[in-house]
Amino acid sequence: MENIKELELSKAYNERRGMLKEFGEFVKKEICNALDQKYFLKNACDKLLQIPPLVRVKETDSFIEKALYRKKNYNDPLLDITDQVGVRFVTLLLEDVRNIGKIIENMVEFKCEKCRDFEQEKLNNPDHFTYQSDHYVIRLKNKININGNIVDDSVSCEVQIRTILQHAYAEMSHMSDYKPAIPLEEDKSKNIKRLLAKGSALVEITDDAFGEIQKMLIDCYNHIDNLLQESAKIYKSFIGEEANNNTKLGIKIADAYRDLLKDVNKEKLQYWLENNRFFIEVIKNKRKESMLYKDSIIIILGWLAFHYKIKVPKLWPEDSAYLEDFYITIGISTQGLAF
Amino acid sequence: MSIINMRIQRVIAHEVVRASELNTLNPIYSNILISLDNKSLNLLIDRIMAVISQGSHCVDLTVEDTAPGRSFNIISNMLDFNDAEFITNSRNLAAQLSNAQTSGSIKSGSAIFIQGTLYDDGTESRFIAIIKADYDRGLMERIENNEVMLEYINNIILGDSTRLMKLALFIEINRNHTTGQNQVRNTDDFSIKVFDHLMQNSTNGNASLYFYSTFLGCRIADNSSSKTKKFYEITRNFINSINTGNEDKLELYGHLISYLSDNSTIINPREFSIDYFPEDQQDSFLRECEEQGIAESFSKNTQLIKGKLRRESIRFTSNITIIALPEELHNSFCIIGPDDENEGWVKVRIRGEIENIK
Repeated sequence: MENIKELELSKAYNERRGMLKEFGEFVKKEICNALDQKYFLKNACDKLLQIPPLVRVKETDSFIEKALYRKKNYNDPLLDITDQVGVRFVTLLLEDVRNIGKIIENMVEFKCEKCRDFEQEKLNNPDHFTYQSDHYVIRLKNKININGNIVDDSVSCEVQIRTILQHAYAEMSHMSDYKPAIPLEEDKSKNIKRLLAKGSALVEITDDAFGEIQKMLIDCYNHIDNLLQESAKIYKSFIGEEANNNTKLGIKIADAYRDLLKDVNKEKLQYWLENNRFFIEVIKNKRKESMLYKDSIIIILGWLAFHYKIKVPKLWPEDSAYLEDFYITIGISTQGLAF
Repeated sequence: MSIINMRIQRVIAHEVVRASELNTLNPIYSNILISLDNKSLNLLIDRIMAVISQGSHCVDLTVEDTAPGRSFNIISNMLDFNDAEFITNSRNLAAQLSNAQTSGSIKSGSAIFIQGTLYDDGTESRFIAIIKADYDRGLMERIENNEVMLEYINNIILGDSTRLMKLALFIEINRNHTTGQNQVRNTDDFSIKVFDHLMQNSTNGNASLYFYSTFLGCRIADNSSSKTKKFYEITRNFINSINTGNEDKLELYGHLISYLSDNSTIINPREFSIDYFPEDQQDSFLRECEEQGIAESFSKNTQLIKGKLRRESIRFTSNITIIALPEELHNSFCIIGPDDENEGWVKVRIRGEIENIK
């Protein structure tokens, strides 16, 4: 009797597998498209993800084992087992795990249920160091036809999202703890558990550190980026013409003086320009003949040259003839400076 | 002072020679204004700007001789002269320059007279510039029949070296005068600057007199002693304020004393900053000088700080003061640092033996 049930279930599952694969691919594609839009990037998945997302349909043996041998008492395993097809997104940073999760939660065509939430699990068990990954079970809200397969809301796809370090932990844990294929002696098994917990703790620490690094880089970049935007507005309002903004030249120059620009803001640039109005005339006169004076970076460079006459030539990232000409033009002698 | 946007309207050049050669060499005085192409004009502007812009070695002059027919009287009127008058009067000035060149070491060269406009601290002003350009020698590359030839020339002027030029710049800062020729202009109507590399060192000091004094009838601006004192005070306070060890401060202070006591005759705060302050303090020092209005070069005059230069002192919180000649303080005294064992004590080392106790 049991054998017949297993055979029928096997057959029914095998028949579903093509449809499951199609649905998995559909889910993957939809999420990747949503990522492109969120990050304003073409092929955001290729850039953001550490491992290309692969759609995997559960092997039949594995499905049968879960359905019948684990004493889980599914009423209808074909409906109740939610990870018959799955796709995994592996990122570098925790922040991207959260972002991808939010994107999935906001996708209108899916009903999604967060069935594992590692942040929540950490809160519930603050002294446990174990598997960390977000899992979503995704179903369609409306029936659709995917390449000839009718898929409705009875079909689910499991999406896992984790960092590459969490993934490394999961792979290691999978080999030894999660689904032990070989029974181990008790003390060895305990030792492995302990080692895994240590590994998990280290993963958490490292992921947090990576997050902090990212935040610092963004803060720094944002400041320079803001300053360039503001200088373009100042240029427009004082010179009356649009400036070239965010050019390679501008970014390169701003980058070279990153440290000196740390405390500079819109107000300081404006105040300086208002008190050195001759500089406006210089820009107006020179903008026809030189790229540098058409670029909004010229406002920042003017401020720098007035406040750091000696240091600016030392850090200049381009051919020094341009800066020398700039100094002479605005009436600063180049004598004794590092040109 | 921030001079920019220099534009040139008319230029003329004449030969100048030593006074003793005036009768034998018959220097050439031109009769026409020179029309320069853009490259030459830009070079001329670059050469002038290089010696007068912020941070250069040029210094302010005060007019002494305003008599009719003398330089100031002619130059101040040249701005309003028509071309013919401009030419005649520049010839007159060139002859006066030759006459002033009495010292044996002075070379012959060109006197270039330039009129134009510039922006000085945001205000457009007219100016007259007079350049005495010494001849330089060089080889000129010439291609002949597809071969590179080198030809000796000895009359290049305004090359890269500022040692071969003197410049006087008369900027008209007040234009409210009755127009009309040969008016006696108020000396306050002009800001006058001079650049002469010979002025940078007192051993050559007299060598530069013929240009700014004999020829131009000017003297170094009167404010030099108060500026020198201000420079001393600002620098001393700045040294005290920077975050560095006392030994470094003592060394910096020593540099200040030597800078003020040496043979140089011009104080250039930028030069001092670059030569002595650590890199991350150089611009802050210069900004401090700018805020206090002494960032530009000026003539050194230690009249008001003679005492400070003679004796240097280090005072401790315990009311003990060490007083010494600057040189002795640097050669025979050093602060080793805080004493590790006894709080509040400082270890110092003095070369020599106790000679006298009063």
